[in-house]
Amino acid sequence: MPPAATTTTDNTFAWLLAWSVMIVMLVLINKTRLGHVIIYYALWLMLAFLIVTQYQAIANLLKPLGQPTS
Amino acid sequence: MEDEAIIDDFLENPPGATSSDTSEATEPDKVVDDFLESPEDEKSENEKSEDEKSEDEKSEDEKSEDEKSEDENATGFGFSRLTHAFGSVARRAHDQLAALPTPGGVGLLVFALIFFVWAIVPVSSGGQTRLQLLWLTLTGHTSLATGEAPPEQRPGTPTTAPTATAPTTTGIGDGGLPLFYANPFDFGV
Repeated sequence: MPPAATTTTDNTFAWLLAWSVMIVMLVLINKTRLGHVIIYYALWLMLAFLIVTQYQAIANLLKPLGQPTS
Repeated sequence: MEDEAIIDDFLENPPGATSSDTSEATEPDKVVDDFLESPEDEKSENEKSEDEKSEDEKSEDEKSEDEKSEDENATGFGFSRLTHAFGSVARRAHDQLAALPTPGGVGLLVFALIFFVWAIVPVSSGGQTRLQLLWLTLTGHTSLATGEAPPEQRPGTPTTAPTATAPTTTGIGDGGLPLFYANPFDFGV
């Protein structure tokens, strides 16, 4: 339950605003020469971490659907 | 009569015109060439000398500052030396980093990340991911759950489905009921 002074609409608006600002900033950084390289390799790092930390879920994808997931 | 003589002399030899080369000076090509070659001829010698003096003073000031910084660098570990060294290292690192190749681009990696998140995050009550639900849907093992049929008659209803709240639902916008009921153990055999 949000506090009485705020509503869920305010929270949603703040969430959307924060994501919009972040995306705009990332796009602006990506337009620079060094920023493009930094974002590119940061995305590679994020992908590697995602695969390493969620290897079990990815392995479950490769199992037949009849088998129980671990 | 003396006045007329003065006027005649003035008309024959106006001030600023040389006595011998008047014909050459009045040629338009010559005038244009002279202007293009030396556009600052209109400056007086005093102005030129002042400019030269100020340029000399500036160059002397710059030289003295350079000498001072060189002396500072030579004598001790000056701040300018530190900033210069750091700046050159940072500039070199920036150039080397910015020159790294980015095959595929950022869009490919964003797509890969979104695909993995789409493929491994469970979203249904049965613990299936969106990729599994798509596969089950394509193979015909899912069905839309509406509020018209009793929950036990729904095809592919898992045993853990929330059957208690099902009879009062309209199927749309009731909140809490999952739209898809997929049974991963039902292969239709």
